[in-house]
Amino acid sequence: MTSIMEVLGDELANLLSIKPIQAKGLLRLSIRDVMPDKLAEDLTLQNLTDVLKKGLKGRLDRIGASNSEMIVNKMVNFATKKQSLITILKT
Amino acid sequence: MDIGTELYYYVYLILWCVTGVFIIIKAVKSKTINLIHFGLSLISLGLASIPELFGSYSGAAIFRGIGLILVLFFIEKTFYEEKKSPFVLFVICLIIGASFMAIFDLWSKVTPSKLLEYIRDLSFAISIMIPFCWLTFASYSSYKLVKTLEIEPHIIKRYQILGVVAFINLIPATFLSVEIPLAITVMPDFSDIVLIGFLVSSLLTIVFYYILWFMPTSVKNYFNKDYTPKVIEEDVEISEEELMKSIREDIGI
Repeated sequence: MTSIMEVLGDELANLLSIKPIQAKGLLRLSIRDVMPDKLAEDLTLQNLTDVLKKGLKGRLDRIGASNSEMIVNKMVNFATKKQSLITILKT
Repeated sequence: MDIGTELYYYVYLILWCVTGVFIIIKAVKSKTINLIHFGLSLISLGLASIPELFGSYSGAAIFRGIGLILVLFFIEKTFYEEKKSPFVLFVICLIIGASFMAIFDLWSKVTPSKLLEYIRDLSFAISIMIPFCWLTFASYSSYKLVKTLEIEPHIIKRYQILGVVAFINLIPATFLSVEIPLAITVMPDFSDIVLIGFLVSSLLTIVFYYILWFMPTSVKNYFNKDYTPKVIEEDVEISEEELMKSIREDIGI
């Protein structure tokens, strides 16, 4: 069963040209950085936006990605546009 | 009130309230707050049958108004959070619509008039059209956005089902908006057709809601029959440093 992490992971993998499993790992680390007590499956759109803007941004900066701001914006835009998947995939 | 109409209200009351309760249970289990709005909306719309059974359309207007506003909340929270939307405008329109329903019902009882009854019915019809036209639009727009993703087809089908069921809810609204003009002019028996239309659309709505929110595995398998799942690499236990290093290498830093 597809999860929201897989969908976001695939998109991030495309944007960074890395493997989906690495992208999912990066997203999980970002969640741990910002919301350590939350499971990926329990995140709301607001939670996800925070994770992407703070957690993912920080992780991309630590990696040294030059276009981190643009990638984060694209990911936030992607999550906002497809927000209904959060409900559909959870139920 | 004839027996057929009375039976319709009982069927509507039971089906909508029971389905609403099931959806709320599912929403609580999956921690999906917006789905609770949807479940509550079904219960509220179902409960509107009780005052209607006693001939009080103004009482029903309160339950209908609340139920339809809850549908708006569901759409806003599911499709339009952190996006521009006509949510506030639609809520105001629905409050006005529900107030018109109640006022013109009471007025038509004091001063019996087909025109007043027609304005009451038209207010109800427009009140139904607002959330369900929006839901049809939101489902179709989201369907277009997700259909290109590499996800199981049954997930994409759920958007189509939601759009279809929202569209089905427009049928009673359309009937309501033409019932009185047709009944007093060319089709005196049109009220019977309206009742059948209401019953059929209610039953179809409930069937589709069950498929949408409680899709059986056999139906999922049917929708997924031509789908080849993508090969997902198994999660391997690696340290945070190793993961960051491997990404750094892959993006060429």
